[in-house]
Amino acid sequence: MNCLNETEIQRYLDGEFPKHMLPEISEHLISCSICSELYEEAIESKNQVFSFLDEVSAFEQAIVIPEFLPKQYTIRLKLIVYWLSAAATILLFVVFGIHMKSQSIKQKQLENTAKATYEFTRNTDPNKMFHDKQIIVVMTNSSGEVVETSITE
Amino acid sequence: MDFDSIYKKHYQELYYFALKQNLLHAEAADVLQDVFTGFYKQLSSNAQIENPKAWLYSVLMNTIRTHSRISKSREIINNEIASRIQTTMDMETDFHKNEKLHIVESCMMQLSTTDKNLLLLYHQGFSYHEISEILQMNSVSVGTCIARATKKLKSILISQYYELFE
Repeated sequence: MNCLNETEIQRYLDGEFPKHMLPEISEHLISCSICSELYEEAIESKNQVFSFLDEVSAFEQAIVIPEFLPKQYTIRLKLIVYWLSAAATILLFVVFGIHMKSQSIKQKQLENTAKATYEFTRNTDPNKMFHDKQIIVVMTNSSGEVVETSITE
Repeated sequence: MDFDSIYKKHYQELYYFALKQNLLHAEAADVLQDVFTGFYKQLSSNAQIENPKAWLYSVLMNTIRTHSRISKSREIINNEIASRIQTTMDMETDFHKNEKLHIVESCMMQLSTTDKNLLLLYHQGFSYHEISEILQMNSVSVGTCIARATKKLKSILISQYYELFE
């Protein structure tokens, strides 16, 4: 039998070789000093690394295992969240729609009941710009009666 | 074996394994919730899982890989790991043991992610076949990788903390 390489020694050490090959390898390890030395070295390395990793495991304290939330409850909870989100969105649209409608009704009422005309005040400087002139706004209803008057600043 | 017994049996070791993957405590709990939900679904759909432990570790590794928050909170993670080591050290009276713990943790952080996971799984007692499935690597190369990772870790330990080998 040929000498074992690094991988084969590791596999033998970890019992990863097929059973029928084990006697042959064992015999070789007894007869070959080089392989035997490598094998001893691999055992030593494994033990050293494992003892160090064991040190970390030794500090792992028992934890409180949380109760597992089964699938049905998770899905039910998700569905509740989805439905609540949908309801909130619909409610938002309804409130917005109602608000818009009330605004348009107000506007319509103003259009139907009043008509705005304007005239300049008597002592207005004609050289001033339009937006600088003082004007009187007269609001009249459909039958021509004055509803409201206002003077701009 | 039913779900509850597997859940209780493996939760703690998976939790500590997740912590060793640089996850925060809350993140580890979240990831485990996802892993066990997947496991629950598999069992509910009558899917055959020959080796539940290896399956759980495999899904855990995949979940951690896709966990986007890991990279974002790298600084916080490092701080928490440092504080975790410190807290453990404060709690324990045996200074020599604490020193070793600190050494192992810092040495493990110097290894590549693959080497670290390989050694952790190897230490957990998984076979080469199981390790290859969990880490999605060729089963033929597992032995070689383990031998090299073991040597690498040992050389790091010797180079930095040679007094432990005297």
